[in-house]
Amino acid sequence: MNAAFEIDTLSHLMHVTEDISYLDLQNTLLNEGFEWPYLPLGYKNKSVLSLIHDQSPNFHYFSDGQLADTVSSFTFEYDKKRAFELKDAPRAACGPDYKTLLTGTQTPMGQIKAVTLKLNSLPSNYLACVISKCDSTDAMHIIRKCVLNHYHPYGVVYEDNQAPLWKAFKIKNRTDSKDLLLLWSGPSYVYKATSSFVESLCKSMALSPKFTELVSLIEPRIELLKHKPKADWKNLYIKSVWQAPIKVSDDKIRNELMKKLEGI
Amino acid sequence: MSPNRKKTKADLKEFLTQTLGEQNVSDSQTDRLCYSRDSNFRSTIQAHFHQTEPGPELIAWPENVHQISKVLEYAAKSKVPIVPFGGGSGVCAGATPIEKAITLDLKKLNKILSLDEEQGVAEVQAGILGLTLENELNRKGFTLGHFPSSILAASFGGYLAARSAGQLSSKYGKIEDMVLGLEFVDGTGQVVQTKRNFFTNQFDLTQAIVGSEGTLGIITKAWVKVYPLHQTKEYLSFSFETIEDGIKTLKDIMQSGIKPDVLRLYDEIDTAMALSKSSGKKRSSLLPVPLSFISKDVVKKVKSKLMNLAFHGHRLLNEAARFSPLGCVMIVMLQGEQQLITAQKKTIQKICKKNEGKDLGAKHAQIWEQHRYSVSYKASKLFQDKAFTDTMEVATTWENLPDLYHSVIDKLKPHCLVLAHLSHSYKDGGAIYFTFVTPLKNLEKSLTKYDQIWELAMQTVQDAGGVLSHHHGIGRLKKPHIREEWEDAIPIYEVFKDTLDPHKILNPGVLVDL
Repeated sequence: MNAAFEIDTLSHLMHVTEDISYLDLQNTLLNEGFEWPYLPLGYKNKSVLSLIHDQSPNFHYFSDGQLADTVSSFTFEYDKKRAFELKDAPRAACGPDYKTLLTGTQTPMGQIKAVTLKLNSLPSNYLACVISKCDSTDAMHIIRKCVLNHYHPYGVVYEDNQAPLWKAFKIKNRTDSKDLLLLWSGPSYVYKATSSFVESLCKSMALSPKFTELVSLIEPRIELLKHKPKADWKNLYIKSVWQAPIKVSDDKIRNELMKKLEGI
Repeated sequence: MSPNRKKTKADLKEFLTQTLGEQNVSDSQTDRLCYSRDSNFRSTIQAHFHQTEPGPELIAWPENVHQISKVLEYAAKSKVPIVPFGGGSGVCAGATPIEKAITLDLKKLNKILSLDEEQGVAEVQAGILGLTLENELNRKGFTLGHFPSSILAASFGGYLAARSAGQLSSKYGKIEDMVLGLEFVDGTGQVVQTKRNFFTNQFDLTQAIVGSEGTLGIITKAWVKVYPLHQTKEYLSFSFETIEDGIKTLKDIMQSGIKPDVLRLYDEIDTAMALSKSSGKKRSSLLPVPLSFISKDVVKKVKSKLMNLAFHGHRLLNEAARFSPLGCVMIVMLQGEQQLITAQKKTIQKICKKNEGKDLGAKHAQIWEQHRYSVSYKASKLFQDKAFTDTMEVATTWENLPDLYHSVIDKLKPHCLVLAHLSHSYKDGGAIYFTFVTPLKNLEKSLTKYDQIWELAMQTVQDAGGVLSHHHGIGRLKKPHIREEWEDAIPIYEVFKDTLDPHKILNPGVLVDL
């Protein structure tokens, strides 16, 4: 094992002590039968520690959450002298959550120097569903219903036939526009229930889903990083579910905080 | 440390009466006594020996965010300490006031302001009680998915302030996973709304306020995820010979990608205490002898005496109970669409079989469900039996969990009866909930024993790499250990405190002393 990282196969964690490229990390994990469930839609060939400082939407958001949810802990260095190390624990109730506060927020006050990432076992297979002639309102409705009923998709692609993931499918009768692709990973026992739920939902919307099971997504998943997705597709992640009508008014405080934090 | 207050009690009372109305302000002895503490067991021991704490100088019941803003603006100028109060169900003295404080009880902010059924978002005021919130959502076909055992008494704002966890956390997560944004009033009276930031690199203030236990702001409402309610349920129970086999099974289930609604593992003693009751029969699980031929009063006295003797003999009990015929029982509850839960059940049964779990059917999980909120109310019965109890909930990774469990049990068992269950599981680790019981002596001895057990337990957890709390928070009771937990993160909290509460009026003495 490389000295820069160590995998805890019991707790599904990876301790990264020296910066490595994102692709090297994911490739190493694939060989060990794991994946880090953060696939940034906005990847710029960065290293892991730089990605940790600059959050992009996660392709696996619906199944694994935002960037901070895929991080267990880190060592944070600031003021060139001081550093603190968060403990690896799935959750805590010990005051404010420094992990979520500092992960991905480009904080000017310091640097994440080492990080522990949460891993998933590499799925043995995937369920894919293609729904054609699906406008964006329908697409959002389908995603929302799946998420709210606990059929969390592993990833979503919409109206983007150039997305590398399509190459993995050999589904006939696919039209060239308004195609929604939904993916699930997990125990294959659950796939029957998932397809039955989506089928019945689509039937009520006069849409025809087509399902297929895939053995591997390794290559297209990595290719997806280099692909520039269309705006509509990313918007599905942002707008489909849990949109709260909040009149955000924390700008002044956030700016003041950032300024002070920079100075400590 | 109490700020240097500039106003007399009469000034404060006059201001509060003008701002909130006479009906919303009190300085009566009874009210001050009621608000003198939360539900922490150290204070309960003191109360048992008729020792009470002074309580706040005044209690106020604001009805809206504007009133809270005015009160905090005034308090900031006058340097009056403010203690936010929800249901008072906290167990770490987080709502216990310092002298000369005003307690702000938020229970009049008790509405669900909106429910977006399409998006799955509810806008909820902080003072609503947990069960009322869940029942109201249920009536509209939704659930928050948050069921702490204190749901009968805890408030929604309290959930957020202390990073609460519910019994269905393996499926829905903790409260910090559910919150989408919130409104709070800072220590200068400024009303602020924040929104979770899931997709961009903007700093997200929400997670600074959640868990800050009223020290950075008073939460007045929040937007949370809600889910359609499903009535179909399945119950499963399995027995394992060792706690290690059980822990491995929890881990395997969570890492398989399944998220059961309820997933709990009890060690041998906790299995005997919590899961061996016959449904509908009222009797102590530690006293399985039928006593119906004797009068109720006599039975009560005998039971009490026997219980007390048992707690005195905790060393023997700690060892004997490890040979319980049931072993360590794991219970599972699945809820949702029938097809989905059937598939999940199949996966769980397969994992349990692989780990040599014995299938016990539905019974023990159903017993758990019938008594799921009663655990918090057993403590007063123990006091009648001249014993006291407390609980400690800590978390760590799967790799550390068995060691942490054994370290705490080994350290505590010379001092008390100690039992544990694992009630919150994730892909990377879980939380252990320890309960300790020991005989009640006089006030001084009991408090000394209580503090000694806590000190030993906390130090053992920190040495074993666990975090101090998974969902009860820090309050005042765990504060002596927070510096070791945070280390050099303290200056960051100080910046938050200086910015959001420059006059240091918000819940002084809680979380950390700066």
